[in-house]
Amino acid sequence: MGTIKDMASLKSAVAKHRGKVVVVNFWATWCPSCVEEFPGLVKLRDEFGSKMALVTISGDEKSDLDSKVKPFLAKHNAGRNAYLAALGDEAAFASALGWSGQYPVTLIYDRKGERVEVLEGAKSYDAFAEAVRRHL
Amino acid sequence: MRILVTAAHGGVSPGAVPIGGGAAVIGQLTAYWAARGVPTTLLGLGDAEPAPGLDYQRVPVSWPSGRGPADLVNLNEVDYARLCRDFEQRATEAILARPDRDDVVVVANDLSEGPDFARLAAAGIPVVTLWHVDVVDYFCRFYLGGLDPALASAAWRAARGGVAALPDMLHLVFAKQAAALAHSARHIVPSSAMRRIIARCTPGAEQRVEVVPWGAWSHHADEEDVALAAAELRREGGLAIGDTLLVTLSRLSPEKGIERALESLALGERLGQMPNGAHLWIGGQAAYMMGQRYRRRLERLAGELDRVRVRFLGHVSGARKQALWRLADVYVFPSRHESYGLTLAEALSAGVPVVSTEHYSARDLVPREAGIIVPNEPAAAVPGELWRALRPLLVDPARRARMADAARRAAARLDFDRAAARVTELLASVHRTRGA
Repeated sequence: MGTIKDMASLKSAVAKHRGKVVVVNFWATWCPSCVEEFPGLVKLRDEFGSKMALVTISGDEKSDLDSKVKPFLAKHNAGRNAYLAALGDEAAFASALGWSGQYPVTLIYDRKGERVEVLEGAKSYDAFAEAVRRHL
Repeated sequence: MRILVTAAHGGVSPGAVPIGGGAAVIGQLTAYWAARGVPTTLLGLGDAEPAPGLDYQRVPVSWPSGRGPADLVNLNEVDYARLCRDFEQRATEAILARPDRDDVVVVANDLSEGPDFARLAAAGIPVVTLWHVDVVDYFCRFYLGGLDPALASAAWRAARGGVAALPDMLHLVFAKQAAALAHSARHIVPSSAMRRIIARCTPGAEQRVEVVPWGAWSHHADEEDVALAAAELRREGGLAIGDTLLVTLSRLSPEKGIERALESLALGERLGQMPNGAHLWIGGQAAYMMGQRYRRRLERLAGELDRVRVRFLGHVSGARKQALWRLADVYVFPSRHESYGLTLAEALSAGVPVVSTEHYSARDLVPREAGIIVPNEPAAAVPGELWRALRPLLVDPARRARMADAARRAAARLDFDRAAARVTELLASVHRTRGA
């Protein structure tokens, strides 16, 4: 599993999916709201197929990678495009995204790779689907 | 849904409240709910008028002889613990007696001033706990000589069956936190570090913890009032144009480490490095639990400085607080222990560069371009580290200006309303799934 260390590595992870709407979800196994919304994101990925990509970035500790993160991702069939956050200057990273620091947060990138939405807090499948459709 | 907020400091004037940050947050949250028509009742023990639009239910408690709500800040640890225990039971009875009890979500603002978590859970009333401090962690650091809170929690779990009548103080710290962790539907903490402490001390409990950083709220002081207050502060403090103003703002309490800021300035003087025209203004009220004694210590240290002019401002709010931010060149935050650091968020919002010791949220809040974070350990090195951070800022206004711009940019994401909206969503979610 790759790591996201800074804005450059996030941009690089998103750039791999140029031409698709990219949904980037920051989540963690310790975050109840993240765990609740996660199946909706997987459903979104399955239903939009090749038009969108789901990138997940876990805020868990590295020590929880094998015991918690990987089993969770495997259970939800979401092992691809999955990263671990290992940020240096966390405040600068959050500031660049306009992210308050709440988990979960979901970023929507359009097909050109521009960040177009920042959705903080748990969202329903319908809210995600609507956001993706806006940028297809 | 009706939100019932339990907060012993409810209805007590701000200057007399011992838990500054926690009281400020719930004050803003209840104002947010009142402004949006979310039915909310605040249960407190004070007799002051509630905020406009907010329903207030006063919970009668037994005060120590001759004391009342205005004395809350002056209570010692034992009296405060006794008062909280009394409030716990009476607030719980008040909630259980409400005709709308099947339609409420209780928000416990701070563990120590919360209700009886077990009784409410047994009655099917969901409780969401707002954590402003991990009480066990705090108690271990400042009362048990730095004992590992995970060890203390484990020892507590092992021993509690053998403890028949628990002293109020231990009840306040260990039993209350254990009950909150066992019976709250959700816990809301302001930093990931605080979540990690909870997870380490009480394995399993972290599955109900949500991290919601509070950010900073906007102040609506009249511009003319702020300008007048700034002029007045300048005049009172002898702050001339071209002088450099360092500000620190918190309860006056040993864990805030304010003496380390004074010691760092004393070091700068001893080294002959202190520039002309340096001021340190210390805002905040002496807190309960050693606060008065600590203030005297700070005054003594301030009296030993030759070149830096130090002022104690007392409780600062409204236009005067806004004016203080406007005048400040650097915000100094030398705290030993902080769950979040509301004033750091405020400083960034006001475009004031920060020098802070490292604590749970400092690195989450302050980007490198906007502030300097110095290690909190080893303790003996902190004044020196603070001085090393402060010295270049005292003599370089251009650098301060660049950091101020970065601070404003960093603060754009720290919007309290986003946190309030998230808390409201979480309460609604808990209400929807009650009994499930």
